[in-house]
Amino acid sequence: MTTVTDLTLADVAVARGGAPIVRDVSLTVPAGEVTVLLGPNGAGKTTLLEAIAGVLPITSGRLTGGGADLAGLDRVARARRGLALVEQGRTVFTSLTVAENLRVVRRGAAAVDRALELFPELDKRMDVQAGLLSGGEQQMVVLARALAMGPSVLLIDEMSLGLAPVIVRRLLPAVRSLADDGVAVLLVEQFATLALGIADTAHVLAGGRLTHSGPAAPLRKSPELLHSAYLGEAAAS
Amino acid sequence: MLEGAIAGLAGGGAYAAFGLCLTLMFRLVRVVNFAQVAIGVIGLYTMAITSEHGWPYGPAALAGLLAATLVAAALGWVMGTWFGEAGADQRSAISIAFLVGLLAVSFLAFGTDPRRMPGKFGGSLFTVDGITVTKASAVCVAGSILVAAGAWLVLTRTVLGLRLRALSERPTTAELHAIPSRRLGVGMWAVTGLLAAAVLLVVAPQQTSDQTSLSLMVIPAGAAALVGGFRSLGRTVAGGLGLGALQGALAHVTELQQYRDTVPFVAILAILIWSQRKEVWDAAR
Repeated sequence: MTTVTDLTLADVAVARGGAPIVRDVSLTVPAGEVTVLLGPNGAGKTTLLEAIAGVLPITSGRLTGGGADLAGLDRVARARRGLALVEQGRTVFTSLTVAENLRVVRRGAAAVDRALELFPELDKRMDVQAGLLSGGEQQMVVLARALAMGPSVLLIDEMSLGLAPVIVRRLLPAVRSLADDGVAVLLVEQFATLALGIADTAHVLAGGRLTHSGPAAPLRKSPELLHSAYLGEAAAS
Repeated sequence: MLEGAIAGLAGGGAYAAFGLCLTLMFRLVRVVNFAQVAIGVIGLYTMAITSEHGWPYGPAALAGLLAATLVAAALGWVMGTWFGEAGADQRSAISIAFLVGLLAVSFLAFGTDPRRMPGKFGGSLFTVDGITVTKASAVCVAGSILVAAGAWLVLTRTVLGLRLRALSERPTTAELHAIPSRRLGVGMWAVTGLLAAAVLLVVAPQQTSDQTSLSLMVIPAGAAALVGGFRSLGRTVAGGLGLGALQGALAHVTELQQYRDTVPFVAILAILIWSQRKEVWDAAR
């Protein structure tokens, strides 16, 4: 079984309930980098991530990982090849303890150890039912659970949703650290400035199409450029 | 009356075991499986037919268990493949179609006449103070308790159990973490199908039965599962045994024996009304 080490999308279109949401999206998510996908609400960011993970079908275009076609695989097969999606909304298994949340997906002790290294707070909460944790702790469990899979490509959808900025500032460096370990990270994030702070590449999606693609640094330094990309004024490059 | 209640434990054990199957299926694969007992009936009749063709009881019973397991696995595959994304209500409605289909197949394959099944659990196990405990009662009660304990152990102490619980709570999230929902779902159907057939192999020989009346044991089983709120394995066993004992006791009271078959319906009605006691008018409507 081939492990997915990176992602390439070529002219990808995705529909939800028959309505086209994402059109002609082409981008790459290289190993060892954080690629951030920004955009206003309803732009199609979550739809695109769900299509990459296999929750939604791709209606046209090509999705490849490590050179192999992924579009024909179901979501379980994609996960087995190293693709992990951290969904929106702190999706812990609430009736399971923290330890069980990690055990249920673990691929090896090393992956779990690495996850706990990034989130040492969880070490003291291992026997607590995940549904009883605070929002920030639940998000840590969700991230740690994805890491326990030992993923090579990590898709993260609105990790900061409903969390205090102080917690987000705690979580984002952990994401950067994963990329530094060689994981390809595609991050969808509402805190654009914070996300750009850890990203190598940035894409802006507006109205289902990419309106900006390029290095993250210029967007980080120029809020005007970011605003115009959100409004769809910048040409896709 | 006590002797009646004790005698009723054979049926009660069966209700408990079927109720456990219903509870596990609802909790883990999101379906109230109305075809649960009918799957066991296919196994039971396979055993009966192979026995009639001269097979010894052991191989015939194994053939019956295998048939029920395969039928259940096939139905689980259909459910997982074509209705994998459907909600519990839709999947439960589909299980009614399975029930009707299985009854039709069973009538075509095995005929419609009631028959007495060969069995190994007839007769009494022991008698105390004039009260006889039959082998079937003892096996059913012990069996249902063992199944509940075994299911609890698997669900809480094994990775397989954790995966089943994760799958029942968040199916999409579980699949995104490489937990194979379809394979686990088919496995659950197969195991509960096997269990249903095993229970019928013990209970059905105690009386003359036909496919319809056996398949409708899913109603008292559903009442037992409702006692446990389709969640608690222990309360499901208690509910099943209690219903069986009550039916058995009523059978020994001349004035009431004609009403004993209404016990599951009254129980279902009472539990549903009780469970809605705190609903506000809008929600309960």
